[in-house]
Formats: sequence, structure tokens, C-alpha cells
Amino acid sequence: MRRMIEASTKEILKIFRDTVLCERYTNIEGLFQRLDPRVKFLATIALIITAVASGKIIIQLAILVLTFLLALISRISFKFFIVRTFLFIPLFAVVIALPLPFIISGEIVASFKINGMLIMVSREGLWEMLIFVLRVWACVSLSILLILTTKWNSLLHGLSKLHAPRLLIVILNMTYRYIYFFTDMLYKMLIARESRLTGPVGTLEAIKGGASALGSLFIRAYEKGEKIYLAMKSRGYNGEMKTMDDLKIHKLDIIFSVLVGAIIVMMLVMQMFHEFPFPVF
Amino acid sequence: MHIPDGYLDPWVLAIFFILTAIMWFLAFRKANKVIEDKHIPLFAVLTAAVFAAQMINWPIGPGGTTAHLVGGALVAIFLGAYGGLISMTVILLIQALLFGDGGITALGANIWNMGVVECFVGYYLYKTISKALGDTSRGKIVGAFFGGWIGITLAAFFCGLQIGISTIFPYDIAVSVPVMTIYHGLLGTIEGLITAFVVGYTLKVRPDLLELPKIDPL
Repeated sequence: MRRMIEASTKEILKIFRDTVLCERYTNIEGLFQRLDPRVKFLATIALIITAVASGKIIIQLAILVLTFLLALISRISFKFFIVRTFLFIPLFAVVIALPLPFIISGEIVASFKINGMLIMVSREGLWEMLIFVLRVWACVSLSILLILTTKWNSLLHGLSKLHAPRLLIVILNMTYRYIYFFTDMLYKMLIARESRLTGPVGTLEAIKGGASALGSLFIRAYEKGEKIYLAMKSRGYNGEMKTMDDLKIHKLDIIFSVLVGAIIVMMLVMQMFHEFPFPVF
Repeated sequence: MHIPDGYLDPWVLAIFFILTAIMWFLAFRKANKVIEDKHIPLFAVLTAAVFAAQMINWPIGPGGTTAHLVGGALVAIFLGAYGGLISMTVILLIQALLFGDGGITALGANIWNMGVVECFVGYYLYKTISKALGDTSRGKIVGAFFGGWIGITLAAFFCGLQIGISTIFPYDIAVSVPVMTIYHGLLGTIEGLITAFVVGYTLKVRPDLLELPKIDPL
């Protein structure tokens, strides 16, 4: 039970910390913060697709460098951005790709003996590993740049302008408001349960305890939902959500879109025609 | 289970985005007909509760291994198959667009696995088993266990399939599908247990919540 609470607490803290950090960067006046959310969203997707469509290391590197430049212009701390983008997902990609140099056959660049077993490292395997990790890193940096520089409200607004279903937007908006509320509630319930225990409990018992906390959370959520509806109704809610700010495409958005478009076209051309004089694979 | 950006080929992204979009279209068309104003806050808070529930780390065995609840089957048992899909869509969108969990371009694939597959398999298995066992509390609990377990295992199977058929992912189907399916098939028993315990608890405390109108294909 205690281990469960400790591990969950870390998870919960991460969510809150991420939110606070995100809030910090969305309020800075940088390039990405000034762009229209639709433009950012579509540009991010286009660049990610370029990265996944390409098997050339030079293009992955170019996208990674471009993303870091954009982050810099958007006034995001370089050190923070590296840590935030590399720490979880690309690091896991490294772990996944770790066996590649040993299992892919090709030109042997190193070999050593462990317990009489000959282990060989191939050049092709190393490249494969490098390109996989770089691609994942480039893609993750792009989405994290979008997340760090976009306010949730304006992203939702952008999504609704891109014709996402109205019901989806309304539920997204309300769910977001209550995530923190229920996370906090669940945390308190787990701590309260722990404080009533007199000794350590087994795994199954801990799971059962946690699950009844969840059941209770669900029931409270239902009851809360009824109250929220009545409170909203009494304030004039009729199923419509209105926001005050209206989105407009500015000159900056057009320039940015054209630039990103040009970069993507350039990369595609490079991908198709250019043979490099030096080995970049 | 959340596939990040950079794992899937463009055509895999496209296929699963289209498949998911078809399910979205059907689900939202039905939901717009069935859902009333007063259901919207209920829907939203339940979704938020599932989001919170996903944050618990469940201890499994020795060595500090932990598992997370995905909750697709659980939410579908409460809201119906389409309802579960909408709820999981909201959760996965928030995770991808706010916390960087799961890729933005991989949303179609992730929602297919954890929204469509897990909710539909989980929900219909739950219904079939509980009906076969005579619609008793016990039948519902057993149904919830298998719904949660098989639902997540099949979701993992699809996840393995998607990364396996992608050429940019370094391993092929022969590796990715067995690894994902077996690993999550084992971990999935925890998902099944939690789903069963939560349904059992609700049956004991407020059984009426399981009988609310659901958003279903039929």
C-alpha cells in the first residue's frame, strides 16, 4: 500500500509540475507563443510526418536542430528543453534500440569476447539505432514545443475551428477543469486509507483497497456531475460554450507557414534526389 | 501502451486515423442524438475520474514493478461502448496535447487501441458474460474481470501490430506482437482485477449507477 502511494504520488506530482512549467512558458512572449494555434498544430503534424517518412539521418538531425532553434526563439531555456524532451521517451527508445548493433548483420566495427561468446557490433546496426533514436527525439521535441507554448484554451479553440465535434470540445474543456480536482481527491483518499492501516498489507489486499477507493471516486464523480449540472444550469447554461477571444491569422502566421512549407519541400527533395558526397545514410 | 511520435510509418498512421475517424463519426452521431445537456457534466467528470485513476501505480509482485490502469473497459461498462470511446478519446487527447504522453500523430492509432478495441471488446465481453451467468452481481463481476483483461490484451495486440508493421520501428511483427500481447496479457490481469473490484464496489454501494442509459451502437 505504501509503495503504491509513493509511486502514485510521484506520478501525480509530475502532472502538477508539468502543468506549472507549461503555464510558465505559455505566458512568455516568444515566437511560438504568438502563432495561431491552428498554424502551430498543423505545422507540428507536418514536420512530424516528414520525420517519420524519412529514413535519412541528415533529415532527422535537421528537424531536431530546427525544433531546438524554434524553442530558442520561443525563449524556452535550452537546458530545460533538452532534459524535458530527451528524458523519458527518447531514453526509452535508446533502451528499445540497444540490441540492434548486435543483432543486425553487416560490417563489423568492434567485437569482444564475454565468457567465450563472441559478440560483434555492426556498423549498420549502430546507424539503425542512431536514426531510430534521433527520429523519436525529433518528433517528441516537436510535440513538446507545441505543448509548452500553447495555452490549453487556445488549442481547444483552434481544434474547434478545425471542425472537431462540438460535443468533444465541450467535454474536453470540462474534463480538463476537473482532472486536478479528482487527482487531488484520489490522493487524499489513498493517504486516508494508508493512515487507517495498522500494518503492511499484501499485494492483493492493496489492489483491493485501491480499487474500492476508485469505486468511491467514481460514485463521487457521479454525484459531483449532478451538482455541477445544476450549478451551471442556474447560471444560464444551455449546452453552448462561448469564448471571448477570436482567432485570426496574422502576417506572422503566414510567414511561418510558408517557411515551414518550404523547409519540408526542401527536405523531401533532399530525400529523393540528393546523393551526399559523404556517408550520411 | 501509449505509442509516441516517431514509431509508426505514415501509412500506418493514416490507416488507423481513418479507422478511428469512422468510429468517431458513428459515436458522435449517436451521442448527439442520445445525450442531453445534463449528461455532459456527468460525462466530463467521469472522464476526469478515469484520468485520475490512471495515475495510480499498482504494485505487482516483488521488485517494485508497477502497472497502470487504462480503464477503457471500466469506463465503457459505465457509459456504453460509444460512450467509452468518447471518454477515452478525451483522455488520450489531453494526455497527448497537454502532457506529451502518446504522440500527436499517433493519436489515431492510440485511440483505436485503447478507445475502440478496449472499450468495445471490454464492454461486449462484460455484457455477454454477465448475461450468460444470469445477470447476477457475480456474473457482472466476472464479466468485468474478463472484459478488462481481454480488452487490454487485445489493445496491446493491436499496438504490437502497428509498431511491427511499421518499417521505421526496428523490430518486426514476429517480435513486437508476441512481446506486447504476452506482456500485457500478464499485466492485464491487474486491469481485470481492478475493473472487477470497482464494479463490485459500485454494485454494493450504488447499483443504480450501472443501470444508467448508455451510448451504444444499438
